Amino acid sequence: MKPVGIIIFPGTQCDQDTAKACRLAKIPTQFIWYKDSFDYKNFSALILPGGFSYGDYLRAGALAARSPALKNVIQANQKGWPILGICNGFQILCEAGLLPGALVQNTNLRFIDQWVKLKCKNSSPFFAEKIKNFKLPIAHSEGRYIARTETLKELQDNNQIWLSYEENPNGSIENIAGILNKNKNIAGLMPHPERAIEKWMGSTDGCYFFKHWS
Amino acid sequence: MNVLIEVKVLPRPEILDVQGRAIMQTLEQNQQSVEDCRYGKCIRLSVSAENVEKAKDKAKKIAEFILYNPLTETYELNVIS
Amino acid sequence: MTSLKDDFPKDEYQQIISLLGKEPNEVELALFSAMWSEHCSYKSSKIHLKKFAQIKSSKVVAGFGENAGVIDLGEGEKIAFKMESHNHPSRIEPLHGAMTGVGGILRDIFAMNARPIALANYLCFGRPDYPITKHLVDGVVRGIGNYGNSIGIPTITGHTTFHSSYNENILVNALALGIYGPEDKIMRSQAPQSGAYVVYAGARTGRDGIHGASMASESFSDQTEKKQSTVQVGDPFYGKLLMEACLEAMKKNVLAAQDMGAAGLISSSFEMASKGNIGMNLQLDKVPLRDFSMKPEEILLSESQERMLLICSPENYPHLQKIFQKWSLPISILGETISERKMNIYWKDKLLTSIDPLLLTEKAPELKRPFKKWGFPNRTSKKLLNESSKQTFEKKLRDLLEQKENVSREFIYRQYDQRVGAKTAEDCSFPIGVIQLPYSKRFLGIVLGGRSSLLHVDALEGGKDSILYPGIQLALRGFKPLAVTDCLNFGNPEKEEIMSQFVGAIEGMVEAADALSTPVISGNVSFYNESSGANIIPTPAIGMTGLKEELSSNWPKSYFENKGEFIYLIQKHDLTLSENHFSGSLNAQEISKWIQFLISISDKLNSAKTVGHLGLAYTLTQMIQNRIGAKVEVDLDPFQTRLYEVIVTVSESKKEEFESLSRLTPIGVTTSDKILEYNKNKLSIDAIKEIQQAHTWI
Repeated sequence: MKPVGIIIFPGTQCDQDTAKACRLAKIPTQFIWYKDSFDYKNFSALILPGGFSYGDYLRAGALAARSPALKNVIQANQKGWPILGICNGFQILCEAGLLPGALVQNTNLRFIDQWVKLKCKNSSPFFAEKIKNFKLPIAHSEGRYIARTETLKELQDNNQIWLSYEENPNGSIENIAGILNKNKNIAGLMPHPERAIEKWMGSTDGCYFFKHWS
Repeated sequence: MNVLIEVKVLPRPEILDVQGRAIMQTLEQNQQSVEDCRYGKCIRLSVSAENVEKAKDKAKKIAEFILYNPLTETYELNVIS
Repeated sequence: MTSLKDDFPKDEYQQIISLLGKEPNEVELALFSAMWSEHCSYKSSKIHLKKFAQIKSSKVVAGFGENAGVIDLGEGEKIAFKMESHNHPSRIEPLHGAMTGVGGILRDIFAMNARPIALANYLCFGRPDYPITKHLVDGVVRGIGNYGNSIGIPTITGHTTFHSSYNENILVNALALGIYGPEDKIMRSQAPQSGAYVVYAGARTGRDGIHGASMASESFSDQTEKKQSTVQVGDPFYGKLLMEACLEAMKKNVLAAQDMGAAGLISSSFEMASKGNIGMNLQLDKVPLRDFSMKPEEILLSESQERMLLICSPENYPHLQKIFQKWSLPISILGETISERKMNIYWKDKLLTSIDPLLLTEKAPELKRPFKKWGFPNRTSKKLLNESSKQTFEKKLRDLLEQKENVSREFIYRQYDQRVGAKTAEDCSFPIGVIQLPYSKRFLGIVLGGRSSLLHVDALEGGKDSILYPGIQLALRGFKPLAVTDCLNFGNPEKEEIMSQFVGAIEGMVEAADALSTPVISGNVSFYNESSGANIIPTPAIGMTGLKEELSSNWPKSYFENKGEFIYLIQKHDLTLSENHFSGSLNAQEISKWIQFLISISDKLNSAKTVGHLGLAYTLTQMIQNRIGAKVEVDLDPFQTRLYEVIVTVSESKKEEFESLSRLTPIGVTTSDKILEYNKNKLSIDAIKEIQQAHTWI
């Protein structure tokens, strides 16, 4: 079984947590350092984990989106490889132009840590297809999803809105918590599934997100 | 009259600018090194006043009231129109 | 520029001359001004802090004198933890002050080669309506969040007090905890041998916080405004790189490490040399600089953040260099360790000083400041916060719920990442923070202590309580108290009254910690929390850890979970109260036994919460849920402050067993009526929730 590649940027925090969640789902993992180029064919899927790459400076995800490893991520996308961005990973994918729209500062101008209830609006063969209602934690300053009217329409027409909040915590347009690319091989979400994989954490709904690539 | 004034706020020279440092690091990795990089912000005010001088005074007051932190930042005013 | 010479008391200056055998030069003055400051030398507190060493424990692997204390948890796991104050810098610049406070305490933990896994903070602000309070709260909370969130360490518990004595002297105390696995060794700060490299690693040096250590040793006055040093800026991103690089390097390439914190390079190098009883040759021109116009003494004193001083053998240096290059961090050899106990400090080819490191560390003054032994006369006769009044139950309760001091702290902790690291089992919404230990999968609790409502009245009893109360919080959830770190925040020690408080509080803490077998393994002292002659309440802030041996995560909730549970009040009468005044004293032995009792019954409880100083009725409002109310009948004043009182609920199935153990009878039941009923006084849950939602901070 090919491992899932987890890319580590300077300032990435959730690499170990994400690997732990994969291990729990019996998915092998391998870390990829942002300075290194890699061959995507050696991996079953790629994950850009959460954190504060480059301290979220300039714009969240902007500096990491210009790092060497992203060139190989773009190649992987061209061949339709599954790519998942969690929180900061989602921000990086938007900054790299791999997902449409942008993630900007929460409307209350503060970092928000809380549990949220989510709905799965559309599915992809690669990502969390069966769940309807679930609970995950969020923890971000720049999680407000925005997109131009025509982009939003495209998202709706192509069933690219993946996850939405039941109660909007950050001002995201259309309560969007996660989106898919047109091809449905790339997904990005702001909540942290890897922080909800055991009962004592408060929810096990995050397990659904680490089951679909082997 | 309405005067358009930009207030440019930059970290003081002796203060560590963590954003500037991170941007420089990325530029270096992309073979676009620069000698220095400071990260600041720009606030554009539309001020109504009798003349440009009075508008600048007003903007100066506003800048000193809230827009910059004298402990860590400097500012300058530029009249745009 | 005025000479540093003027900063010294006459007798200390004379002492310096006699130690050196000559007049000190500017560089030497800089060394002494930093190292003999209260902040670095603990000169007023040292003789009293020794009392903590009386508390014996076999669990302690490293204690005072190291960057942090270390406790052995068995099963191959150890934890390092420490709490530190950053009060003065946070008052001047709350955002950066709080950020660098968190950054500094984290460096203390990973300097010991422990991986940080949790943060906590103890905050004291002035009255909510005091003009600058809102600005300070906002800045400090943002700062703690900015650093902790961005470096990726969860903040899992906290304690926030509002009181007028902190109006101009806020307290920002940050606690960090790190973990060692079976393979990880404890890194010491003692320079081990001669002929090793002294290595500077991390951020470049700028003018940040020059004279910060001596500033923290002065009272706040209008003059402080003039003597402002350059604000230190923390960079959690750089901090993260430094942390990862250090933890990677310490696996085998580092012999000793010390954070460059207060008094920067001076303090770290002199302490490392002193502990190793050796010397160093240091080339100051090898320090990576951000500002090339800096003078040698400024380089020595700079408190630029995210820097570490490491000792390594010459053959390992290339490995070290490779690791720091991987993390894009500057690294530089400053010099080497030498067998002669001399610090030879060079600027280019010029020898600036050659000085015995012990003159600045062990030979620092040890003051015997005057104090009075604590006793009844010292106790203020002030009444406790809550007195019984003639107002109706509902009016009184509404008032309590509406006061800004009493509102939920959710507006604070919602800004902290409480779950990064995926180890958090209980976050800031619970009375104790709980994380799962990564190796043994056991659960570790962290809780903060130090109640100003009691400390306000009596420093000695408050000192005992600051240890005992967190012990109770842990015990109620089945966690066995392990060890303690502290931040001793006090006013001006030159005043006898303040020094008496300090000595009294320590006496109380030692008595309680000894009774509870929880050694005090690390901490710091922050004096001069005084402005315009007004001193803060004595505030020994405590961080206590506790361990749950069983792997189950089934501890009691802090709220009523189900209807039909029986409510009991477990009380420990100790201090007697008459007309709301305390008399008598806390018996730490008795309360410790009570704490053991609470641990033994904790698995019978469905929910549990200590009754705080706001009384029984207020605590019940914190336990009711949208659908679960309570009906209570008890012959007690619902608003009176009683020190040790716990509300618990027990389900029908465990009732008999619980009652035979506790010999208690229920005071009420939980209901599905959506009503809180206290001795026939009724208030709807909707009304209570409405007040709680309407009265928030932001």
